[in-house]
Amino acid sequence: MAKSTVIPFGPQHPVLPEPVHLDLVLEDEKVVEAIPRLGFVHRGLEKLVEKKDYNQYVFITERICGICSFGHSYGYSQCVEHLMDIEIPPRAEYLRGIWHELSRIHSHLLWLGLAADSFGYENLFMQCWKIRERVLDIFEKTTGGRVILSACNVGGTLYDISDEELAGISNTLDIVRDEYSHITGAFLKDNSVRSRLVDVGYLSKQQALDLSIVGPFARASNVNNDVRCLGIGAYGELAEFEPIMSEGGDCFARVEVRAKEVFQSIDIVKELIDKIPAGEIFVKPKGSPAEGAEASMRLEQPRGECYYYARGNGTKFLDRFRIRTPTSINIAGMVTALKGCELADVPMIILTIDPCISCTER
Amino acid sequence: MPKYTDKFEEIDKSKIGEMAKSKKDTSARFINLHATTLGEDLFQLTYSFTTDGTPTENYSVKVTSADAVPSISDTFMTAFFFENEIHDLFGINIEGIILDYKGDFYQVALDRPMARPSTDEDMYSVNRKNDANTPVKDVDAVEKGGDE
Repeated sequence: MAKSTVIPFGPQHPVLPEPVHLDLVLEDEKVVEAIPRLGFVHRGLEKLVEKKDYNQYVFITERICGICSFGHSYGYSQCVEHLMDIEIPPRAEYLRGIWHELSRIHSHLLWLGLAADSFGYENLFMQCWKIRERVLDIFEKTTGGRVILSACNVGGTLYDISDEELAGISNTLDIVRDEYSHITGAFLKDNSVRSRLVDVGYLSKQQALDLSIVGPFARASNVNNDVRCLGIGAYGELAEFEPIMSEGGDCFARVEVRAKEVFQSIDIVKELIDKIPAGEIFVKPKGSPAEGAEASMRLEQPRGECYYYARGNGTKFLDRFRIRTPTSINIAGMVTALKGCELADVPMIILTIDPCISCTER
Repeated sequence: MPKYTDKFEEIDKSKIGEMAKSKKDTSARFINLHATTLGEDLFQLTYSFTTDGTPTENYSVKVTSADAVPSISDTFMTAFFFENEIHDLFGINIEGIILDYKGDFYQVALDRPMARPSTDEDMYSVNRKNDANTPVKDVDAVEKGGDE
């Protein structure tokens, strides 16, 4: 029997810009167990509801993560609106949907670029990020921000997008689709990429169900946990929505799902632009959340389902606010996918799960 | 537009294990577990589940720090993350976690930071641990034997 060795992975590692540590128990070159450790930069943002009222707290939620910043303000606002029984104008729902799907495009392009860099395809990395810049330019033009948008608030949105700008966004997305379609082949057809990804870090459908995995990680194992299927908000207005699924369960399937989701998000944004109704974008909330009132909300972030919970206490300050991020529930799946892999495949497996430690250490 | 629906239900803490097993048997998906401080040494644990196409089901349990709360991580492995988090941030004792960090999951500066409202004193307490503001030892002086 081979002797066990423990190799520390992280918290500083070239494949991850954020701190997560794994104790990898090896037998020869094979990983037999992986023990995760987080909490290096836990910021206690949930506790800040004591100091910031429910309107101010929107801007805290945006700062949980630089990639899903709009999504967190969207999910938080939806949760507080559900708590206070506020119905926002339809145009605001559409605008939120547009910005959220654009966030998904930029998040996936960022991740695909990082994945390309880890394969050693530096030019592909730069192409992905070049295309992503077009989406950030849309953010800047419509909200003034490229990372923190501050566009969403309890009651609707703070900015409107004119019809001319919406037409411009639609045209830009046509260019994005054209440019992106030229590089997707490198991810999905290249032999070198496939040899690094196919049959690596396998997670079966049953394991994904047992471990409550969410997001593209789950959809790559043929498990549909996509909250967009519930049709909440503007997603209910789409003519049809079928999540991108794969039966592969390996690293390649995760790349495939994210690569195809970029096209899907472009279609969603264009459809929402075509259908967006005219009207108000904001309704002023009245009063404060009732004492003891509770509400939950789920939103499909780029990395998967995010859960929000709010509890009122009769004042403008919430008693409790909770965010369960996709990565925190995917940690168990990551550890399972690592079992039995080769040491050299560990960085690629972790990368294809796309953990966001910034979200997890909220 | 379709509206999001959820439901909240309070259960007794003796029913936690039974509730988790019944959810597993009905192929429900575990979503979340978190704690809320309700008062002096009184907490609410909220367990959330869903079955595809149904409302989010939230089950709440009232506990104190003296209670031994049974872990559900043997039924839903993913819960180990949230149970360790609750132990470190609220000081709630959860028994039988399959991967128990025994209070070493989060590197927090205060004991049970979420168990009570924060005060200004917390920021400057001498009891803070892992305090980033603590001056780093003068390494050169230690090598010369001039500082302990």
